[in-house]
Amino acid sequence: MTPSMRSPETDLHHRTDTKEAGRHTARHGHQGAAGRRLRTRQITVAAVFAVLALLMSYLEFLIPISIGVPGVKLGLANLIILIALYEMGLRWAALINLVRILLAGLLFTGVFAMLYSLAGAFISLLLMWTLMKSGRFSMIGVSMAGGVAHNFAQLLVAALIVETAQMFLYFPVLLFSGIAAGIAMGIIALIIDRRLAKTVFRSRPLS
Amino acid sequence: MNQKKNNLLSFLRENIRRADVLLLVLFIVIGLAMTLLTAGFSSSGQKVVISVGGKEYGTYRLSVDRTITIRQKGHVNKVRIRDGRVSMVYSDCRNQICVHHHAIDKTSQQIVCLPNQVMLRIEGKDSDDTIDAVSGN
Repeated sequence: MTPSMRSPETDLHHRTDTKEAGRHTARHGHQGAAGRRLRTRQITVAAVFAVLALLMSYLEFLIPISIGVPGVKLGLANLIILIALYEMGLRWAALINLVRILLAGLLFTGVFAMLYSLAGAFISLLLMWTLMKSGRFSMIGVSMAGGVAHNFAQLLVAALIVETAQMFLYFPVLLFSGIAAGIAMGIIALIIDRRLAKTVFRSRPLS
Repeated sequence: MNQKKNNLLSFLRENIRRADVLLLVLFIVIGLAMTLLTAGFSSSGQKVVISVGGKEYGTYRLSVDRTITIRQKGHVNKVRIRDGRVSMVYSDCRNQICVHHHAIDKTSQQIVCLPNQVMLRIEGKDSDDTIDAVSGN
């Protein structure tokens, strides 16, 4: 199961790199040095974000909030991913999340939990991106949907692994916990995002 | 303190969009519907069915107190039936979620140990499978 789950992610990773590079040479091709500086800045910020996200995962691993249902958690790492999604785009957010999940899987959660994380993370990221692009939702709504999607994806994987639809008895608990955690993380992410200097992501303020 | 609270409230009021609220309402309605649905099927159970990796491992009556030790693929889980309720008292898994789960006795309840793929679920007496084999009454 592991290789088949991972191969699309490696694919995505690869695609991300080449496409991003292409886009930036296209956009900054005439400026050369400035384009490279922006690229360096993005890579550096992405690395910092990946470390922050990993730290959040570690925090959650240290202080588990267990109510006896698998999959219920705060989703602290989603704070970082949400900000990355808004400020750096889908590809960077996906890459940062992938790095976090792989590292967290190897360091503390274990390969088994990594499967769940991957499923949850990528489905919720895609949904959050779609809602963000629609322009009708605030970061709070986007985060809430992400939390619910994350839990739903984990439930799907769990049902596949245990091979029983009985797992869906957990659905209401996971839905409500996803809503609550998603809203809480969304509010915090929005507050942080407002205070972050946008020059962190772009070499020059846009306005 | 009060000032701070007002700040947060006005911050939320400024930022929450109509679509956010609609989505929240939708989620809550789905959640409540699912809760009612599962609660509707819930009743006091008669026996516990233990399955491992999707295959049935055994069925035990709730009226008899006992401890069942499940050994498979190098994993160990211990299930205890006491006073008509079932709980997982030991598991060698990593996250211990199943061990922390409260005891169950209703047909809509279950305890799952995902790492070891062990599942406990409660069944009622009107279940289709072999009642005679497990009940003596």
